[in-house]
Amino acid sequence: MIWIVFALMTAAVIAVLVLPVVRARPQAPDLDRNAFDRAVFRDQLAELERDVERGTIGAAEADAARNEISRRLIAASAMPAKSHPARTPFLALLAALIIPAVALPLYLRAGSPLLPDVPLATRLEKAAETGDYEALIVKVEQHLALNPDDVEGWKVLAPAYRRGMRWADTAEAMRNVVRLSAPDAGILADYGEAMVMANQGLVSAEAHDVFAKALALDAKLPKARFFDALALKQEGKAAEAKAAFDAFLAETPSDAPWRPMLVAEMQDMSSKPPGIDEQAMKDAASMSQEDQQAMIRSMVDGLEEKLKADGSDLDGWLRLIRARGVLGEGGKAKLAYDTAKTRFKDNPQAIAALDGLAKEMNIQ
Amino acid sequence: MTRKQKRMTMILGGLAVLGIAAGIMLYALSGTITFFYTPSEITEEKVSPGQRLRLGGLVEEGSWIRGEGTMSTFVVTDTIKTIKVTYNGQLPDLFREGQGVVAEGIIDGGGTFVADTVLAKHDENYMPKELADSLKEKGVWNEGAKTQ
Amino acid sequence: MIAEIGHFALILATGVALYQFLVPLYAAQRGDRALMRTGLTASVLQLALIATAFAALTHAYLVSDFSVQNVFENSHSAKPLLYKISGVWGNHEGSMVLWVLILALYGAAVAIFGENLPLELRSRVVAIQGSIGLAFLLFIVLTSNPFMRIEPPPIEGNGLNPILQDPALAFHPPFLYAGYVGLSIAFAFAVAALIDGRVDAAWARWVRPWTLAAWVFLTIGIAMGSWWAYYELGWGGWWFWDPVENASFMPWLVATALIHSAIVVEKRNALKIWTVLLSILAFSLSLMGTFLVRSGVLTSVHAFAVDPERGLFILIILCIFIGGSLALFAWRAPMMKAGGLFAPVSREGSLVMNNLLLCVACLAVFVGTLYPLALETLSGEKISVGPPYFNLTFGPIILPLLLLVPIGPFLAWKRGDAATALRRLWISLAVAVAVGLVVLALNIRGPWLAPFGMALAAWLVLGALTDLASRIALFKAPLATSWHRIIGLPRSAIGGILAHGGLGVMIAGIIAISLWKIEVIVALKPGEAADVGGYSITFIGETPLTGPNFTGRAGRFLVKEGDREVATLVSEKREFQPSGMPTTEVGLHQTLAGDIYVVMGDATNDGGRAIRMYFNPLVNFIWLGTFIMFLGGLLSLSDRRYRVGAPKRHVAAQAVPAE
Repeated sequence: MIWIVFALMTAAVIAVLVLPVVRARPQAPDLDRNAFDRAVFRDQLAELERDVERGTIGAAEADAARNEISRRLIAASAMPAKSHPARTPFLALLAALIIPAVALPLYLRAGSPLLPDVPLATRLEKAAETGDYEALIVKVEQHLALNPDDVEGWKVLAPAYRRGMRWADTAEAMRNVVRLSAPDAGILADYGEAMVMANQGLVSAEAHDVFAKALALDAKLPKARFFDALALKQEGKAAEAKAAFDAFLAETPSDAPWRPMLVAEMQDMSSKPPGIDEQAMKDAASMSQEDQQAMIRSMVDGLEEKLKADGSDLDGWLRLIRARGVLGEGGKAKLAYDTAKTRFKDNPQAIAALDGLAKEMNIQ
Repeated sequence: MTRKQKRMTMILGGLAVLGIAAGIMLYALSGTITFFYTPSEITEEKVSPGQRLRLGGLVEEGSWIRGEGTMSTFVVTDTIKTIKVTYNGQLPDLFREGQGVVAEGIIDGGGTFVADTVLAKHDENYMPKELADSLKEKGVWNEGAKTQ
Repeated sequence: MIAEIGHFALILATGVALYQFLVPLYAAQRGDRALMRTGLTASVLQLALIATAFAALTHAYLVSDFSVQNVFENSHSAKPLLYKISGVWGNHEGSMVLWVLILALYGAAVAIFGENLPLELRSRVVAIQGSIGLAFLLFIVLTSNPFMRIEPPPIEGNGLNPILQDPALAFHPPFLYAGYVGLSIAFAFAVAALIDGRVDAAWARWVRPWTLAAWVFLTIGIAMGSWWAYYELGWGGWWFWDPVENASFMPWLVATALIHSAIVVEKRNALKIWTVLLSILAFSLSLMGTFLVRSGVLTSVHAFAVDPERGLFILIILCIFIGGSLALFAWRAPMMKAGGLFAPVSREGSLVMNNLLLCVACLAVFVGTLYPLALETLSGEKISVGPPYFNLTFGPIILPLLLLVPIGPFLAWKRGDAATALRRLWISLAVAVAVGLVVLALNIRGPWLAPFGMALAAWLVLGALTDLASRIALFKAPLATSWHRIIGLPRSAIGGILAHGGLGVMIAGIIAISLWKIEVIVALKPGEAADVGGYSITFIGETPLTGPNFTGRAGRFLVKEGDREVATLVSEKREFQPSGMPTTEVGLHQTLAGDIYVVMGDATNDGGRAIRMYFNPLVNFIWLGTFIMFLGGLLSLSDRRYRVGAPKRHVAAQAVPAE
C-alpha cells in the first residue's frame, strides 16, 4: 500500500517534469536577452518622467539622467536570436530518472515503510484491543485526573504500577484506595508495603502507623504482622521485635510462602548477640540470605535486566547496588557498582553518587 | 582626475579606513580579552592578583553559602584543585551545586576569586565550551553523559 | 503512514534537487528552452515535496506521534498547542527542515515570479538554489533525519526546553531563517551572473527586491531575538555580542551594504563586480552562521546540536559553496565590463563609503567572534572576547557612517557637492547640536557620550525628515502640492526615509539604555521597598503558582511614583515538568519613557528574596526603531517598480526596427 503511494508520488514528479518537454511544440524564436534590459530601461525612463511631472527632480538632473538611460537603451540593441537545438524528451526523461535513482537507496537506508503512525490519542483509544499496557495505564491515569474519587480506577492502577516497580506511584495509588474505601486490613497492609518498597525497605513511622491500623482491624493479617515486627526491629526495639516475630512464626504454617523471609529476618536478628556457634551462624546466615534473595530475586533481577537493556538510569543502578548490598550479595553489588562506574565514567556527579553509596554499603 | 586616478583615490581611501579599523581591532583585542582558567591552572600558572580572568569548573557539593543580603560564596573545583569564589549579586536560575559554572572577575590578595559575573549553563545540554574541554582533558566529563 | 510519506517526500525532494541543480545548468549552456523550463518546474516540485514533509512532521507533533523519534525527544502531550507547532523547529532536525523549506520557497518564487528575467539567468539562479538545497537535504537525510522511528513507541515525550517555550521565540527562527536563506537568492544571482559572464540591467534590478526581502526578515528576526533575550533571560540586557547573535548580525550588516550597492548598479550601472562579491559574501556569512550555530563549535542557548559529524558535514558544505563561488569570482570577474564613472563626492561615493564602513564593521565583528576559535585551534589558549571589544571597535567604525547617513541622500548622482548638501541640512544640524547641548546641561556629570549620542540620534531622525520635506517641497510649495507629492512619492523613497529615521530612533534607545540604565540589587522581605529611578517598588509577597506544565512561586511588586500607584508587577520562578528545569519570568512595566523591570531571585537566609530591579530608560525605542526600519523595508518592497512585467514579445518585435 505505502509503496503504491511512493510509486505514485515518484511517477507524478517525473511526469510533471518530462511531459512538457515531450509535448513542446517546435520552439518559437525567443526574445533576445537584451529585450529584458530594454524593458528595464524603458521603465526607468517612464519613472523619470513621473518624477519630472511631480517636480521631485531638477530639469538639468533629469536631462542628464534621460541622456544616460537613452544611451544604454540604444546600446542594448537587439541581438540575433540564438538558433534552437532540437527537442530533447529522451534526455529529459533520462535526467528525471536520476530522481528515483537517488531517492530509493536513501529511503531504503533510513525509512521504516512498514511502521504505522502512532498518534497518542488513537493509541489510547485502542489500548484495550491491542493490550497496550503502557497506554492502558496512561488512560486510567487520565481518567483519574478527571475523576480522582473513582476507587475502582485506583484499584486497577496500583497493581499496574506495582508490576512496573513504580513503587512511589504504587504507594500514591494505594493511598487513594485507602482514602476512598471502607477501612480494610488487607488494603492498608498493601498500602504500607508499597510505602516500604518506595522507601528502599525502610519502614517509616508513617508506614508503621498504617500497619498498626491494619492490625487493629485484623490482628492476624500476616503481611501486617511481618512489617510491624520489622518496623520494631528497625526502630531498635529488639526485644519487642523478637517477641512479635516469635509469635508470628508460631502461627505460621510450615508451607506459608512468607515463612523463609520471616526466618531470615529472625536469624538476621539473632546473629547479632555473641556466643553463638560461629560456623552455624554463618551457614544459617548464608542459607537465609539465599532464601531472602529468592524472595526478592524476581524484583532485583528484573531491575538488572532492565538496566542491561538501558543503562542510562542512574537511579536504577543505585537501587540495584543498594538491593544487592542489602541482600548481602557483595560480589554482585560490586559487579553492579563496577558496571555502573564504567557506564558513567564521564559523569562526575554520577560517580560521586555511586562512590557515596559504595562507601555507605561498604563495597570496595 | 582621470579614471585611473579616481579609482586609485578610492582604493587608497578604502585601504586607509581598513588600516585604521585594523589598528582599533588590534588595540581592542590586546586590551579586552579575558583568559579562561580552571582552578588547577590558576594555581599552576600563578595568575597575578588583580588580573581579569574567567574561572570555570564545577560548584563543589555543599560549598554554597549565602551571606548577608545578596552575597554568596561557593567553591569551584575541577576535581583536582579548588578555589573559593565570592559574588555579590543574583545567581542565575541554573546555578546548582555539582553543576558547571563560569565566573568572571579577579583574584584578590588572599587567593579568593571575586566574581562580578557568574554564568551557569543555559539549559540541560549547555556547558561553557572552555569548561567542557578542560574537564574532558582531565577525563571527568564527556558530552555523552547526560543524566537527567 | 503519514510520517513515512513525509520521509519519502523529503528524500524525493533530494532527488529533485539534484535534477534542479544539473539539468537547468546544462540546458542554459545549450540554449534548450524546453529543458530550461523543466528546471523551473523542478523548483516548484521541490517546494511541494518539502512542504509535504514539513506538514507530515508538524502532523506528528500535533497528534503526539511518539513513534517518530524527533517528536519523542522534543515534544510532550501536555504541551500547549502553540509550542507543539513551534516545537517542530525548536530542535536541530526540525529547524533544518524549516531551513530547506524556506530555501525551496525562495527558489519556487524565482521560478514563478521571475518572468521579467532572461530565461537563461532564471534557470541558472534556480540551478544554484537547487545545489544549495541538495547540500542541505543530504545533510538532513544523512545526519539529521527528523523522520527516524522508534519501535515500540514510548508513551510520552521528553518535552521542549522550557526556556524556548515563549511566543516571541516560537516565531523568531522562521523570520531569521527567512532572512538567512533569502540571501541565498542574491548568492544564486551572483553565481549565475558569473557563469553568464554579464550583469544585465535586469539582473541589477531584480537582485534588489530579493535582497531587500531577506533584509526585512533578518531585521525583524534579529529584533525578535533581542526582545526575547531582554525579557526572558532576566538580565535586563538586550544585546550580548553572543557569538550566535553575531552570526545573524554579520549577514545583516553585509545585506545592508548590499541593498545600498544594488541601488548603484541599477541606477548607474556601476559597482557591478563589487555587488556580485558582496552577494557572495552575504550568503557565505549566512552559511557560516549556520555552521557556527549547528556544529557546536560555539555553545549557547541556540545551539541544539553538539555533534562533530554534523559540524564536519556543514563545514564541507561551507567550503564547497564559499570556496567554489570565490574561485568562480576570481576566474570570471575580470571578464566583466566596468560600469559608469563618478566623483568621490557623489551619491555613488556616499554609497561606496556606506559599503566600506559596513563591511569593515562586519569584519570587526567577524574577528571578535572567530578570534577565540582561531587562537584555541592554533595555540590551545582559551580566551573570551566580550562586549568591551565590540564596543571599542564596532562603535568607532560605525560612528562615521551614522554621521554620513543624512548627507548621502542629498548628494547628486555622478558629481555631488557636500557644501550644498550641508546647507540644505543646516536646520537639522542646528537642532541636533541643540539637543546635544540640552542633554549636556541636564546631565553635566554624566558620560560624555550621552550628549553626543543623543545629538546623533536627533541628527539621523531630522535628516530623514528633511529628506522627506525636500522631496515634497514642504513650505516651499503650497501645502496641497506637497500633499500631492507625498502621495505620488515612490514607496521605495519613503521606505528609505523610514529606515534611516528608524535607525535614529534605535540609536536614541541604545544610547539611553547603555548610559542611563539604573540597576538595583537588594534583599527584600515582604513589605519592604526599594527606590529605583524615581519609583518606589514594594515587595508585597509571594504566592504558589501552578501552570499547565510547571509549578513555581510568583512574587508581587507594587510600583509607586510618589503616591501614585503605577503598576503591580509579577515576577515568577517556575520549575518545568518533566525536566525540573527552573526559569524566571520577569515583571515588566513598559512605557515609552522606559521600562521598570523586576526579577525575583533566590530566597535569602532571613526569609526574604534577592530582588533585581532595573529602570531601563527609552529601551523600547530600540525595538520601535527596528520596527520602523522593518516597515520601511516592507514599503520599499511594495514599490510598483518591482511589479514591472516581462518584456512583451510584440514589443520586442516592434522595437527592433525602431532602434
